Amino acid sequence: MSESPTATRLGVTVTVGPLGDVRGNIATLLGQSLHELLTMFYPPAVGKKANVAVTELIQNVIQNVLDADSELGLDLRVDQDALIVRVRNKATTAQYEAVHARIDALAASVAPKDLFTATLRSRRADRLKGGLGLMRLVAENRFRLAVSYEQEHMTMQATFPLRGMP
Amino acid sequence: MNVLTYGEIMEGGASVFHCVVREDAGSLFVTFSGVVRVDNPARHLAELLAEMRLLLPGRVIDRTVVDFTELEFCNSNGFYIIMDIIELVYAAATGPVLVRRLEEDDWQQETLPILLNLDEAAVAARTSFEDVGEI
Repeated sequence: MSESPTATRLGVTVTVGPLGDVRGNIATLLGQSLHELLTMFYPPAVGKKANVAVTELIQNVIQNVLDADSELGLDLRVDQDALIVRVRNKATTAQYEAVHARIDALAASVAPKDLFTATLRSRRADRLKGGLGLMRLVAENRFRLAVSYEQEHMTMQATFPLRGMP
Repeated sequence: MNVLTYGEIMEGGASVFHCVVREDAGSLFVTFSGVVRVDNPARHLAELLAEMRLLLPGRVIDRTVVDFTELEFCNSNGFYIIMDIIELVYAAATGPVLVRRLEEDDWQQETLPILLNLDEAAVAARTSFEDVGEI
């Protein structure tokens, strides 16, 4: 057994395709399963953060499926330095640019929580969902977000540093 | 303790979320339990909101307790419905509101105050928190 439970290295990769075959709430299923897996090795707070990141990122994909024949990829890595969640899916350049703009706005904000608050209130009347999940990951859970685009596929990455975490 | 109304979310044939509104000797108790993970929670809880709008006005309520400690997860799709319920609870009375929440839960510590609208001075003045450790 490792000296410290947080020295455990864990990696999980899941691919699902075609997305048109998804029948149930796959965001929930993966988020909750990985939460339970991580809690075996890490403090509950790490499992909770993984749950939120996996759920919100996969939910975004499921709510914006471009091609029912395409595939979803989830990659979760955790070690003593960081928790990293990557989600890859087929997307248009317009979708990528919209996500990129949201991430840039969050990165540029000196107070992401204020931006989250203002966005939540302004969109409430119309029940608009777009971007709340990403804002939550930054403002609530202190993830660093990044997005890349290659060969018609967008990869979202959420990173939470664990070094120094109790 | 008198149950005034309740709402639930069913997922895959199972009940995964409950919100129960109770009254006892001038105190109003609102408890949230389970998980909010569905795509459109408002669809499941519309009847609860309608009943709260019908039952709460005019009731004598000296104090209110809103308990989130049994709420294990709330996705971002659930934020608006939580705001709707909270707004009705605060509108039902003018007295103090005790919010019970989990001590080590990012959403209950960071986002819940936003959903409660604590930036509004009148809301903040009525609200106190009890942070509860998870067993």
